[in-house]
Amino acid sequence: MKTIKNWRINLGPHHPAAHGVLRLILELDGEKIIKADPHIGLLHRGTEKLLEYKTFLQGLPYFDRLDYVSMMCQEHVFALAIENLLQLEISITHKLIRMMFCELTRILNHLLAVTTHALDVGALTPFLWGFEEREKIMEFYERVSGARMHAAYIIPGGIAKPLPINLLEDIDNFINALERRIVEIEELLTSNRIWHQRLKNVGNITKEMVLNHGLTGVMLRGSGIAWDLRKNQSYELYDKVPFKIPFGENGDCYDRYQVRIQEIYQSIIIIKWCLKQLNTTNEKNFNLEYLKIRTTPRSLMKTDMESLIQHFKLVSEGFSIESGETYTCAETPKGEFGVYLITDGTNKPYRCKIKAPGFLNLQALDFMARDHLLADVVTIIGTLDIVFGEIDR
Amino acid sequence: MLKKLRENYTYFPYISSFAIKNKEYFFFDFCKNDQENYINNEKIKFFYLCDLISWKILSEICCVDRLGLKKKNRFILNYCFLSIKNNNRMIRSLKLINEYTQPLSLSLFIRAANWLEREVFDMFGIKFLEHPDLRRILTDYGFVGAPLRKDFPLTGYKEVAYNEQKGSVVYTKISFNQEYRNLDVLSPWNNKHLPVIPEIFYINQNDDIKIKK
Repeated sequence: MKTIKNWRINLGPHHPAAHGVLRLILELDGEKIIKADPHIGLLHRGTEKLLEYKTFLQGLPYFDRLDYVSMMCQEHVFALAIENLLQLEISITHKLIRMMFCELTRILNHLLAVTTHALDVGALTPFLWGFEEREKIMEFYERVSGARMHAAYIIPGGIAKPLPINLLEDIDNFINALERRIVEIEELLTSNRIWHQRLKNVGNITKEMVLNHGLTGVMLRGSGIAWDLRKNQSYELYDKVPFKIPFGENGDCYDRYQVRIQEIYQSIIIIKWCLKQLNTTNEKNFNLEYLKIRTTPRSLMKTDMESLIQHFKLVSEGFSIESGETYTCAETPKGEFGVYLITDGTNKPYRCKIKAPGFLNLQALDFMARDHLLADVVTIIGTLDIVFGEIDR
Repeated sequence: MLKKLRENYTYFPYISSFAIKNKEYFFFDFCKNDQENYINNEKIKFFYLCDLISWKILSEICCVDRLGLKKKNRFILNYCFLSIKNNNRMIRSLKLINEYTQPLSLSLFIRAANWLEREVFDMFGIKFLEHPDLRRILTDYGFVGAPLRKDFPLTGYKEVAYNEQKGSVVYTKISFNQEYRNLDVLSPWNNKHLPVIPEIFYINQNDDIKIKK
């Protein structure tokens, strides 16, 4: 008598649908998934260990490299954690610029998430259109910081450099044109019959299971919980912006797609608000407290001895933080990104634990993929919006 | 719930429950007196907020190694909970006397704890009792050591490279042309605290790990 065995297949580390280096061991009954066991860590670089050996300013660029499609949001969290420990309040102009770039980053991330998801499912055109817009956002990155992706622009105490001239007008023009582009992408996907068939009732997850799995961000909102740290535990000036939290109903892949698209529209609203505020406020306050952790302008350094000394001390020794610990988190495009920072009075962190939203989101893959077909796993990986830089750290 | 717990943890006799302000708390107070394997005789306590169990998100487990700080307990586990209902956060810390102390796994109640605990096990070598699937998660298959402990060097012990002759990837002992220079530029005048220098486990040329005295 023949015994029937389940198949166990390896969805290898270099599969194009694996969004990087995900090794997935799937146990199959026919074409039905019984168990999915993700093997991660192929991109592990030991960021947390490295941060213990670097000063705070040297450690900041490591945060760009974690989730390499939402760079500035993560710098922002690290900067917020340091400001929390130093109890710093930064100027309103800097807050507005930070918010503006965080929202640009959110659009950057969601365009990648939605369009590569569509690519996995089989639609190529949105990918091409979305990446054209991403390229324009990266040009703004380049203009403010000199780097297209790894900007290191949001630093403790504000932003690294003042805005270049004409940038605000260009962002304004871009944002007005972007709304039309998103509508075009939506025309291809939202009411597409194939898109509906592949996404509806795939990867359903209930409210209880979302909370039990510790999922945050779009995964949480897609299941019908209107929870956004920008509104609920507000930071910077988000509590003053009139924007809405989009949330889904059924908790399937299609709802999460809708949430992402709606979030792009909300980000556009926030950026427009920031631009309006930036054009009206012209405050030039020099808060003495944060001058201590910021380098002086280069023009001053040529003539002023104290500025030169301060620059040298900041770059070589860095600033020290009194012993303390904080868990600071913010809403990054993928969910709640947190930094558990412990300092001991020296110029380096004693321990810096990075809470990556993708880590817990990927853990739910096993639960979500059960009793689905093999082709649905690709859809679910796409909807999780995983980037291995942050998961493996 | 309590009954189920008693069934699962027969060797924790001290599980008790009590009510505070109409909310039921469970109070885990267990100790393990196995003289052979466990040096620890410290009671490990863990509060668990029970009625909000489905409304609590476990967002983070942060383990801290305090080697060199001359503290009684070497490790601290910080559990960060988030309540969406009440819009607040709660951080519970659990002190472990050394790496042989075994805390109770939360993954039976909260699925999020599964990978978070696996990561703590991977990075610090702390084993969780009753964990369903305690494997390494971020490091390589067959990796030895606990990388985030303070006595683990930044450069590690082994390096990995492709070997032409063998036609495969092989591990070799790490070798440097120059010592790793950890430049300490901390000003000796301004700071009250001296930089933390852990009691180093160093490797000599023959790759034998010895404890420096």
